[in-house]
Amino acid sequence: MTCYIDQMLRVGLLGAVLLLGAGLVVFSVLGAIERGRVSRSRLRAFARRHRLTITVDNGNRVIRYLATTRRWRTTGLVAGLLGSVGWAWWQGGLQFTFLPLFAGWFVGALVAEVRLARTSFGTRRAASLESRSPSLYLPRTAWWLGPALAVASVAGAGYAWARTGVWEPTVWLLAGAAVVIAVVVNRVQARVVGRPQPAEAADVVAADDAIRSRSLHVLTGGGVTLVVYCVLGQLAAVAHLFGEAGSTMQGVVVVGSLIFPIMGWAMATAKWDVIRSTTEIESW
Amino acid sequence: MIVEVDTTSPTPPYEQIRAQVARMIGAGVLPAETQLPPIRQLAADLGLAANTVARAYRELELEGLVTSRVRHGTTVVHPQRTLSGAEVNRALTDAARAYVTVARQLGVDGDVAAAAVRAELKRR
Repeated sequence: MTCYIDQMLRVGLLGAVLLLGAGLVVFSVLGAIERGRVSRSRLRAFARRHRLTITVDNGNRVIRYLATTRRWRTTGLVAGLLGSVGWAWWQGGLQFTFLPLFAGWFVGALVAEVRLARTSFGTRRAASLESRSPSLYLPRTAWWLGPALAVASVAGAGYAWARTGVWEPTVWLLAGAAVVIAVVVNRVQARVVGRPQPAEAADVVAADDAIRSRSLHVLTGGGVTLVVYCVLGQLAAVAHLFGEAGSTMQGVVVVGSLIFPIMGWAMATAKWDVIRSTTEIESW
Repeated sequence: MIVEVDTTSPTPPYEQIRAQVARMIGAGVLPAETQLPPIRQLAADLGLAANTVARAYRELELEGLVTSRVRHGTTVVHPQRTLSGAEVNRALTDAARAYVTVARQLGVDGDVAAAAVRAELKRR
């Protein structure tokens, strides 16, 4: 018994050391790659999605945004990868699963938005008297999609319990996770809309609007995908309780887990015109 | 439309906001039914506490220039009295005098001072 424990400790310790080493290597390589480099094609893609004209005055703002978000999203992705591999190693195997990677990436995206909200003010401050609302930056339905799905997740858990009379802790855990994700995403989205806007030239304000819109699209696409994964997990957990309908539910889970990330990606990269950003500025 | 606040000014920030918004309403630049930004938004944009902006809005409401309704926000009401052309000109002249005084104190010639005004007008 003691020998077995010693062996497990040695394997665990070796795994942890290897994992730490791999993490350090990956982070330092990513850090070297990511340090503020934004390709011209990436900048063009951003400008195209919002019909934004990049100018001398707003270019740096967009580049800074793209660099910051990419750095944090990549960091989250790597953390998710290391966490996933580390956990699998701890369990005595080695496997890659999509969900921890995606969840890590999304947490990175959330952190990036929180960091972008930091602003310093001088003694002379200016602000526009134009109101900003979420619908300026994102379709109204997309704004409420995550919370609606979270409510559906809780309702679905209740329905499954009432119908089968079986208490499945996993189903309620996933419903709770869906609610937490929806609330966190909604709060960060509200923070993105509410963060200070510079009262500057039209091209700078247009870039700021485009940045807000892109952030909201990414948060919505990622958040909705994660909530949908919770719902699919619930379906998978209760499928065996529903007899023949259970196999259909399993099919929905398999197809959904392939389709919904693609839909989330499409939502995150969708084009959006912030109406007041269409002012024509000198071409780039 | 832009409001500016100077935190080093002896005039309290809420009064600076109130005076500027009142001037814009009086001059007809902010017509009736115009919706003012939510208190939180304006406070965040100016880096001020929400209470400061709330006080400015409250003072404007007491003057009868705006009305606040729950879920509808703050909107401009039809002003009982608007600034006449002469009053607008006088206010503009006063501001120009103050600007020229600063330009002279800085030793800047007329062309440079006028160019700075033109650049700022173009920027906003």
